[in-house]
Amino acid sequence: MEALLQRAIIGIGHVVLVLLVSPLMVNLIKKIKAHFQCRRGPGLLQGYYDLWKLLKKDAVISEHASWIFRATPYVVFSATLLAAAIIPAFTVLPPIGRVGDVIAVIYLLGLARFFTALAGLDTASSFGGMGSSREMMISSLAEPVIITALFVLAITAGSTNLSEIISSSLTSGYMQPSYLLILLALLIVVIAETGRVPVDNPATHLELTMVHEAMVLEYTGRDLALIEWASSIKLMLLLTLIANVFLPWGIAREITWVFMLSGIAAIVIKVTVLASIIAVVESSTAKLRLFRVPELIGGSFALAMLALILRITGKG
Amino acid sequence: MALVTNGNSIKDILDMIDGLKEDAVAAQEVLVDIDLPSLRQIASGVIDRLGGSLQFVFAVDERPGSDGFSLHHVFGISARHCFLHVRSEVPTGSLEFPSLTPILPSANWHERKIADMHGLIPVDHPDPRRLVLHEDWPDGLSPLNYDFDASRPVPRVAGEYMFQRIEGEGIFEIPVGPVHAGIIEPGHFRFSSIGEKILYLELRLFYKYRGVERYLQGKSLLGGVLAAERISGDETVANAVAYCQAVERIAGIDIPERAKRLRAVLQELERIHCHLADIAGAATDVAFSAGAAKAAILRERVMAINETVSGSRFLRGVIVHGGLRRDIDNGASRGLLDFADASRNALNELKSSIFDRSSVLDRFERTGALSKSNAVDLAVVGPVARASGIPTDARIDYPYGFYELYPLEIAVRNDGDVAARVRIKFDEIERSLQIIEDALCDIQSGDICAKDTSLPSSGHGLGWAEAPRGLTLCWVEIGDDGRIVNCRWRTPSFNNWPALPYALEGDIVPDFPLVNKSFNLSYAGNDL
Repeated sequence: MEALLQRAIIGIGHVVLVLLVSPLMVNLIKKIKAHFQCRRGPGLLQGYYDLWKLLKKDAVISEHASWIFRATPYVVFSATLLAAAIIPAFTVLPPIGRVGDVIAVIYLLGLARFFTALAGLDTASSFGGMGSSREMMISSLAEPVIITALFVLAITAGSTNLSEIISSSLTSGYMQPSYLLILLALLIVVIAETGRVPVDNPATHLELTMVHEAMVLEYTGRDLALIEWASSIKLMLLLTLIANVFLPWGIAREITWVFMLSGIAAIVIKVTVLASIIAVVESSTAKLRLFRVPELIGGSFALAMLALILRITGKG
Repeated sequence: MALVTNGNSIKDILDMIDGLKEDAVAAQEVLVDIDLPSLRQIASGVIDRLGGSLQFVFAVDERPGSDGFSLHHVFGISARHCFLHVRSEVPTGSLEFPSLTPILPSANWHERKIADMHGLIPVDHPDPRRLVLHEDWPDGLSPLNYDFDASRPVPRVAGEYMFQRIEGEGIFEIPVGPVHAGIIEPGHFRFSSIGEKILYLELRLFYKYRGVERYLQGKSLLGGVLAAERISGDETVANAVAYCQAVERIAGIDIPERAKRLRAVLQELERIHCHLADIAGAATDVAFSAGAAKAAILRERVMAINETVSGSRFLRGVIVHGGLRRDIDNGASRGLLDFADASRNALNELKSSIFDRSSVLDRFERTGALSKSNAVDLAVVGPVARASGIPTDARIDYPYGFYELYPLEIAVRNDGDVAARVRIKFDEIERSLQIIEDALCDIQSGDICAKDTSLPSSGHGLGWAEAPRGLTLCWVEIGDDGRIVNCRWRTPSFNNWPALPYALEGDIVPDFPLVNKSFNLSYAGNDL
């Protein structure tokens, strides 16, 4: 009985952590970028104020929109949150039990993307369809990279379960050639998947250049809040995944308060560091020409493939 | 003063220009009266044999004083440093004139604007659709005709603009604007694209028609300055200078040397802040926010200097016919010199932060290339022309004021792409800083305005200046009462907008904002 309560606390704590920390990370990136532009930037809590403001507002929905447009924010938000709940953040234990593995994470993110793209097409605005088509092009290239990279991890750990993967990287070490290759591959793909520079520009007002923003251009009020929140959760979950697989320091291996609290501190610090890296990359590079994106992601696929070959042949 | 002559064959005109070579340089405007039927022949002669370019076409309603309309074609003849102003009469009772567009594509918008403003019909024009006045403007109401009543609201009528249709499998249209997500002026862009590739772009502008040319009729000369300054915010000085020089040429006013130098300083300050804003915009459009911030900070310093020098961030209220209304005192001019000196380092740093970055270069190079032949055909002006290999600059081609004696070397590049246009802007900022230093270093104290600015008689004439975007031209007619009878404007944007679709050949939709930014055309300046 006590074990069950413990698990429940861990699960709830995990979800609350993800919900609370994710808007902070997006805002942190904005803040660091502002620093590079000699601006003060928004306060660190601005992300929460924005979400709160949007959540209180009514949504304006086009009369041409179907149920897909209305349902999408909820589908996207819940699928992304569920995916985030599967990835261990501060303990190696699976946060919500053994309900899913890496493959479930990929499919949940795929579900969210599928609905976002449909919603972009649904209102038949000129930019939505353009955004959906670009998003599909980019994700059709990025998805194989993630799958290949995660297979490398799964082969090493002998399981597709994320707890096993993280434990294995804790015990057998992460300083392996194949791990370094997929770390690089995944960093590139995370930037592509979360719509950051140099693949997409979340700060632009130029509709013709948008990818992710073009798809969700029609959303307002609380629907927009859910979409924005979901994309910050997505950023958080991908960064958590990288942090815990490649830098598994500080993650709680035992269920005691001390381990848990230090685990929480560790994951927040690690994700903060990774988000700062994204902000630095965003500030120091221009966005790629759209048709250069396949070259970039193609490169990351080559890295992931190389890692897989090394792993299978037992050389790395 | 314009030289006036009659001529009905190209030979007459050539002879006359050869004969008057020296005077023509001094006069800079050669006015020729011709018969309307010989217009095409003369136009093609001027282009082929004199190397001219058609810069400005406008019509004037001569009623009720005399019959009908007069038609004015202004050719720039840079080799002779003068404008050839060809005037013809549209016969009484007729509303038709021969279109030059089939032989000179640069006449296209000018003739359509005349059709909208006066109800005249350019015969054989390949695209006789409305241009400035949209389809909701009633037929038969011509805002620049004498019988138009500007005091009553114009009723709106139903009407639909027919876009060019590009059809085929997999081709779709992307309508953008006129309302945009950012703080941009209104303009509609209709892309026909296949995948991301742009097949055709149709511009639909002119959402900002304010009736400036109509408003100016009957205004005082000072009222003309105020209106000129407000045609387009970042061309305040250039348009005011063009207008004032037209008035000064009509009245035969020679402005003091100090005013000439200070006007040059003001024009170069305007060029600098305009170009810096463009550079910031180009960096923003490729999501290189750190570089954009650097350019924006530098521009803000220029705006602050503008304010200390003139009391206005956009340098308004300084220029007047006869000279200046406000002096730049020694303290302010020392501040300017210090600023010019200090800006060089900041500018070089900005330049290397942009051009030493391969990710930025990859976006700029080979994007939005405008070929030299297209640029020549469309009589493109300013930095856009200079980036496509055309060495044109009003400060050299038709020198005026301080530039008459100034050894200016203009920057020319040949690639015609976004990178070339951005580089040209850097080159020009450097030269502008140099001009400011040269104009101020040995400036003498003295009058800033001519003592006698009264008008000897009525008359008309052209005035021009090199605005940050290129040659801006205005034509002013002054009546016996010393008030403006007619005023016509052709800002650089009016010539350059039609070239934008040609620069996009082979480009993809997401690169359009960058190409558009590198052209930096004014919507308001285009649409008086």
